[in-house]
Amino acid sequence: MFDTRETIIQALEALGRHPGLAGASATVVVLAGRAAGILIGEIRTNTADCDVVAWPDGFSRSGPIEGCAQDIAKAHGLPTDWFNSECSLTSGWKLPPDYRDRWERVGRFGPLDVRCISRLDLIAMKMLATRDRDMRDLESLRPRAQELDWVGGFVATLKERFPGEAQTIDIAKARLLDMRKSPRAQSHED
Amino acid sequence: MKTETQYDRLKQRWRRAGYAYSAPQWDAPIDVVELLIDSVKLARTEPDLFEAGATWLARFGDVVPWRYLLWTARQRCSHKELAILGCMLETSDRFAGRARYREACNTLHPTVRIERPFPLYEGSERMPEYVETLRRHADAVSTRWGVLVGDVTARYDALEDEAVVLARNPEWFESVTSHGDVEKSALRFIRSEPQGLSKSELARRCGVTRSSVHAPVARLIRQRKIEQTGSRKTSRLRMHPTQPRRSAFQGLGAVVQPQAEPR
Repeated sequence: MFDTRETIIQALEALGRHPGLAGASATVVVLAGRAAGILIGEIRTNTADCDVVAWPDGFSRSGPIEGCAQDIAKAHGLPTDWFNSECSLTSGWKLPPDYRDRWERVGRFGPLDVRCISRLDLIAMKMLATRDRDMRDLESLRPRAQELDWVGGFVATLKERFPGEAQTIDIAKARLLDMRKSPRAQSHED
Repeated sequence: MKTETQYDRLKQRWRRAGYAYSAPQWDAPIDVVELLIDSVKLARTEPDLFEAGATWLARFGDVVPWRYLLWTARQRCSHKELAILGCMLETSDRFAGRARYREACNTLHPTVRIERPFPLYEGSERMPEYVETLRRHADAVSTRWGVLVGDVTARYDALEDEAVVLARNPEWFESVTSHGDVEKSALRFIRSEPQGLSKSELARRCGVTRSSVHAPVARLIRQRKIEQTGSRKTSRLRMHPTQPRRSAFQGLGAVVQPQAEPR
């Protein structure tokens, strides 16, 4: 379980050293969710896993990395799915397409060049995440007015592209409307 | 130094119960009824607890004496908290694909008074558009209890293996091996009353008729778990002298009071 940047880095270091990855070609891995929030210092909570939201080099979850991660889980007492790309399948559509312009470098761990999404992209993804705990994370991110405007612009493009996600998009729009009105967003306007 | 919060302590207790929260394991026996009630009471600020409770109940619900749970919850919880408990029980049944708590929910539901649906996460109350959207999209379970819950999924990946959890919590075997909930709950009610209970009072607390407790009580007497003392008119049901008068986790009222927690 991870509650600080250091605990995540330690697990990634162990993964990078796994013999199963020795000689593997370098690949970029993009983290999202609470792990990304902890890594960029924007969320102070804990998380059970590192959600991989994208493999820009074309790796898939069938690759050897998640298998190696399961070995690390056993050795370090982590949940078996501590490093998983479930999120890339279920929530990839919530990631703004130009996220690479803003991603942040976490470090190089063996062949893994680990990046995480930016604060702005994290706000966008949390806005579109429908669990209560995501709402709680969103509150702790305290988005500024101009960040809400940007996310609003992104969310507005989704309905046409993802008609099957209308309910989630509705929820995000309602949250945006409320958050724009909140004194919190207004007090952050600078 | 970081101050330990009530949430931190609950996560430790959940960890011992087999739910993989990021916390050290609580180092004393835990009372699942107290754990569930404390989680329900804190779920409005820490909504993870709702998902943890519903997931755990779907797998380990057989160790919970639900009549005792409902009775205790009614003593300690507000109507909103009771609605959250009902919603959690019904959600766990949805996760498990069975109706283990149907009777519990049908018993609890008529006693819960909720004027207007409210969001599980308290912070959402400041967001009227969002709450309205949640209400519009609410599923049958949320609508029935008036608790607007966001997406919840069974986090079975966060549960430890059953054998490991039961070995760590041997006091749960008593519940697992009981014949049905009346027997399971009766034992908890009797254990919680050092002065003993009359059969009528036991039936009242269990929410069943006096004749419905007859067979479970007879079985518990045969197993020498409880005994019946006094004359016919004043007879009381007490723990059998060979049984611990207090369960391993009793006095856990103390555990849930932050100031009295052993550190």
